[in-house]
Amino acid sequence: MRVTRDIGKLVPLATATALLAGLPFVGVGEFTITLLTEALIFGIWAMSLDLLVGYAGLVSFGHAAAFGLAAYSAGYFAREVMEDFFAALLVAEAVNVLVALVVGFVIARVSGIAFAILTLCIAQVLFTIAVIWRSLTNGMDGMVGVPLPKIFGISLASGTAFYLLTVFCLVGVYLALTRLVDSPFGRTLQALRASEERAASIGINVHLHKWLAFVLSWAVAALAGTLMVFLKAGTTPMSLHWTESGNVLVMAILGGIGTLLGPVIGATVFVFVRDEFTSRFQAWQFVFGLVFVVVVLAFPTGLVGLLNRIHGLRRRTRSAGEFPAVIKRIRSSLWRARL
Amino acid sequence: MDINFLLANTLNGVVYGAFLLLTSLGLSLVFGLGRVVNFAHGALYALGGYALIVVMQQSAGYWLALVLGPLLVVPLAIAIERAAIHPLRSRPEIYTLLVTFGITFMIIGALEYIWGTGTTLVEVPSPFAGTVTILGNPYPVYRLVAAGLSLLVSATVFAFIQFSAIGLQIRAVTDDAGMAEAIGVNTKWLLTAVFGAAAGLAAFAGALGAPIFAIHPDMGSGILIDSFLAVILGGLGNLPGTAVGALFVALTKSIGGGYVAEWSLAILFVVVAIALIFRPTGLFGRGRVA
Amino acid sequence: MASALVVQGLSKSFGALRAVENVSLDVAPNQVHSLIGPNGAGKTTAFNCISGFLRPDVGRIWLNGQEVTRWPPHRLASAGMARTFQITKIFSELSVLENVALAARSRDGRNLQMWRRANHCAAKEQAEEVLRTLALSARTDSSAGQLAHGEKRVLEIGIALALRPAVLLLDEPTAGMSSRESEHIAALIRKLSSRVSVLLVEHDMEIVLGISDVVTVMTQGRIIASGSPAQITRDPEVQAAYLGTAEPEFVS
Repeated sequence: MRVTRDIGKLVPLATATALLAGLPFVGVGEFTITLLTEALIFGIWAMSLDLLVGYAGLVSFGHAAAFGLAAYSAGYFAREVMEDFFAALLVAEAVNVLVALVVGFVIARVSGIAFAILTLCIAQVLFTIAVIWRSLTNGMDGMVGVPLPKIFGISLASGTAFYLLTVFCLVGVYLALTRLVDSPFGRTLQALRASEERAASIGINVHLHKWLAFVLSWAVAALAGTLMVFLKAGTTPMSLHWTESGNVLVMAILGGIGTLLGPVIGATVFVFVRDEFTSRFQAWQFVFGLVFVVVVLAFPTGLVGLLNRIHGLRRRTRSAGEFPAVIKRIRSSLWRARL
Repeated sequence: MDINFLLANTLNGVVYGAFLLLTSLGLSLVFGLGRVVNFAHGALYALGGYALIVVMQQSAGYWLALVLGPLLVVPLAIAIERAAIHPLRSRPEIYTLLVTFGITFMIIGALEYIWGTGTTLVEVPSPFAGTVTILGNPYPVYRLVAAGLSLLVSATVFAFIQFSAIGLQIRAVTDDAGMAEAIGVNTKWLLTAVFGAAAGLAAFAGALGAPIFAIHPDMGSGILIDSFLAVILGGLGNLPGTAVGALFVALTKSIGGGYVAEWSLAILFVVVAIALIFRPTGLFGRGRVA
Repeated sequence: MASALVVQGLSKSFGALRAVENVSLDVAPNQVHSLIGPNGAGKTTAFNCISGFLRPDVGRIWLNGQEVTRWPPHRLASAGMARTFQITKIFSELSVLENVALAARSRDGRNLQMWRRANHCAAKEQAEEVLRTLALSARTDSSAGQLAHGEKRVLEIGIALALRPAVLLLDEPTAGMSSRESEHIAALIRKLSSRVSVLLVEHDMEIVLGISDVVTVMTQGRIIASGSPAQITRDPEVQAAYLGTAEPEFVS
């Protein structure tokens, strides 16, 4: 029973993975593949944010910090020491986890607005450091010349190979996180979202759980940052800027938080729409802001919620089904984000 | 340690603190009144700077533009409140943060589209172009004048809140919105009006600071973060606390920053974080943070 | 037999307001000990100090002989002190079962497990058992937010029970309930006292006098009387201050 249910869940995932991985081989152009690689990397990053926002109910306004920090550490290591992908990833993970342990220890003491603003501060602090520590970061011009990564000694020279690596990472992270949010720890995070006081009253160490969630989220974001620095062969302080923190929040909310899959969809839509717009329309930022305002006002459950609602409506015409659970979950994630 | 250097930094801190007071007061008022976390406050500050330029381009003098510019921002802010914030009344506070974040993008995007990403300098208005000597050090007069004006406006706001009938309503709603509504305060329109006024204050600060800090589309993000820190330190919605918080943030930044270059934000973050560990509801207790 | 919960000289002020002043309590094992008093008497403040949600200014607390003064709430809960809230606090978007299972897993120290499936823990069976005890089995898979008010109050108690506490602190468990539901809760509390010591804050005098072994009366932050329900109803000071049968100002 348990096994069949697991297989039932795995089949669509395996199909989706095969489809994604097959794209370069069915004539999808190199430009689109590069764009898709970027989208999937953002997808990993947005999933790491979803763990905080959608599950623990902690809205981070500075998630660029986790992304940019990893990009700088992995890029620097690959350029100066060794171009091995896994070694660079390990370095980025170590740096991110270390920083998240220290910073998170403080930040996990607050929730709601204070959490949002303190995370924003951290990102701004790192942004400032990236700008002024020129000897390490090359200042505002950014770090350049990050070499192509090697995996097991083989250089990932082709875009397709790097794309496949990204797909592999994305699926791995998705599997791990779906498992995590369904674990006792994941459920405990959702309890914190509902009421930290109640959680404390049943013996849950609220601070410890929020702290760990923060560190885990930064660890996942480190993977995204590492992939990105190799994709772009460098990075700039803008990867730490507050607008970037905003972008990832937009991706997650656009797709639908508290679903893990939603943020990936949101990231993909974001990257492709932005590409369309920036090349054709100068006031892209304005349009982007407008879209976000409309989403927050009218579709707080995001694309996944919207799809579910359409699906739910269709089902309800046949039988009096109940309100789609996913919508409720996303909505309450936001509603319950404690302030 | 050079005492003159310290003096200059302290003066800069006080001047900046006066500006920060203007912006954080609005932020704190709006939060206290309607639990609205206005991320667009910095963008409205920037808008004030650009409104100043627009009016000055109509060959108005600086002082006239300083009054008219911010007044142009007020109706826009009222429109924003009615269109985007008012519909969120029944939703949790974090939504207001998200929606005003989108609005920030819209405003900055529009500013960049119209004026480009460059920096615009505004000349210091003529009677105050020079310097004064303070304890043997020259210091730009305009900074002191601007700081004085900021403090004057802030004091007026305080007095208004403390002594006027509307101020009483604002305090009542901040204290207990449900109770205030029950005794007949129209919280909806009060929030709209205060949101507009707070935006006007931010825009005024932007216009007033233009000759000191220069104008560019992203000019509001720095002061936004500092204002948030001031408001959090003071306890959200607590006005006297906000005032102390603003001065604290400004002095920490300019004095600390004077010695360790651009690390001031990092220092400030550490200080605020430590303060929050010991006083999770802000330094002045009553406020709500978590 | 040693006391389950001892509170000694507890005081708590908010600015000039002395909410709780020199309160001492002694809850014996398997007893229902009620704390009553008019609104603003400091019952809930005392409650919050005991359960670690407020820090008392002075005073010491022992749980099963171990001093637990100034412990944070989660540590107290792990040590065997469970509480409910006056205003219902449940995890409303999680299922009823999950609400209780969270507490059971917490008791087993499984909160931090990240790889195991939550549903595969032994906590699930424990939670189902608690729901059976409380006659909530029919609502196992409902979302907790959808329960009726009375059911939510019962679920509150269920969450606390899943911790298998030594001492159960109930803050007005019958608030907002119909009299039939209240009777149900009263019977439940009486039944529970065979396994656990109960400290009860309650407004409904009929319930308090009906199920308590000891009643402590507070007014204006102080204890004015403590004893069996029979002693309390006879106490003239209690009658004057609380029951209102002989309010001096009105009589004279």
